[in-house]
Amino acid sequence: MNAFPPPSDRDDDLEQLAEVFRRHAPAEPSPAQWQRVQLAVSRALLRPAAPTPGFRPLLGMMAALLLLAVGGITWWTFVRTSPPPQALLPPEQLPSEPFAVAQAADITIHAVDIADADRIVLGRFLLGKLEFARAGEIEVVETRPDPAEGWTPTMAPQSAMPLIVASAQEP
Amino acid sequence: MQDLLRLLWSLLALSGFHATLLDACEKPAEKKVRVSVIVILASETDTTTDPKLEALAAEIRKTKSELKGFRLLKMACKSLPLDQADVFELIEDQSATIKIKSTADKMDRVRLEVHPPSMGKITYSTPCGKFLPIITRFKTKKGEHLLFAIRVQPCGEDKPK
Repeated sequence: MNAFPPPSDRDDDLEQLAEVFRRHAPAEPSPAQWQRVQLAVSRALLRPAAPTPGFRPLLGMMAALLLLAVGGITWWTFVRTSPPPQALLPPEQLPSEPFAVAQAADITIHAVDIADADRIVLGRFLLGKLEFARAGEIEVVETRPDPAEGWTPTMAPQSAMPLIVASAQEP
Repeated sequence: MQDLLRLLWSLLALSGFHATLLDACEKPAEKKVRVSVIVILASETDTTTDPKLEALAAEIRKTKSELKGFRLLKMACKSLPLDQADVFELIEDQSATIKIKSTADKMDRVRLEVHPPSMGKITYSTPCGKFLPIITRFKTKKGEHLLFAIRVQPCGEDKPK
C-alpha cells in the first residue's frame, strides 16, 4: 500500500493528464469525411461475403461426391440392368450350309511388294519357295519373232538352267 | 382325262425346270491355272544380290558378266482360264502377255504362250510350281535390266476337285 500515492495527489495527476489530452486533441472530421466513411460502410455491407479459403476444398469434395453419385445411378440404371447381348438370329434359324468363301482361284493379285508376298496366303504362301526350273524340264514348243524389231525369245544356249533370252536370229 | 393329262404335263414341265436349275448350280468349275509372275531387276553397279536369287544370278553371270546384283521387286498372281490372254504389268509401262494353251496334264505340265516386252512370242510347256526366268532387253530409267519369271499352279495335291 505504501507504493501508491494518496488519493488527492492521484486526482491531480489525472486532471493534468486530461488537460494535456484536451489541448492536443485532433480536429473533428468534416461532414464530407463522415459521409465518405458512411458510404464505404454501406458498400461493404451490400457486397456478398466471400467464402473463406477453408470452405473451398469442402465444395470440391461435395461436387466430386455428387458426380460419383450421378455416375453410379446411371450405371445401375442403364448398364447393370440392361439385358445381355443376343445373337441376331437364333441357332435354329442360321443357314445350315457353310458360308460361301472365295476360292484361291477367285483372287487376283495385280501387284504386291515382294517383301509382303508371303504375308498373303491363297491356299499356300503366295511366293513360297523360289524354285527355278532345271535343265530338261522346259520344252519349247514354238517361238515367233517380234514383227517390228525381229527379236525372238529363245532358250539361252550353254546354260545349265533354262533361261529365255532375246535372240536376233531366226529360230 | 384332260385333267390328268394337264397334271402330267405340269409335272414334266416342273421336272424340266428343276433339271435346268440343277445344271446351272452343279456346273463344273471352269479349269483355271494360277500364274505367278515375279519381277527381278539386275544392276551393273550394285553388287547386292537377294539370297533367293543366288543360283539364278550365278547362272546369268556366266553369259552376262556385266550384271552384278539382282533384286526381287514385286509379284503378281492371277488365275487364268484356258486360251484367254492376260497382261501382267512389269515396270515402267512394260508388260508381258500370258495365255494358257493347255492345263496340267497327267505329268503335271502346263503349256503356255508368253509374249515378253520387245520380243516375239514363245510357247513352251513347264512343270508346275517352278519359275522360268526370262531376260528382257529393257533397261529401266535407273539403268537396271528387267527380268521376270513365270510359275504356274496348281499342281498335284491342290488341283481343283
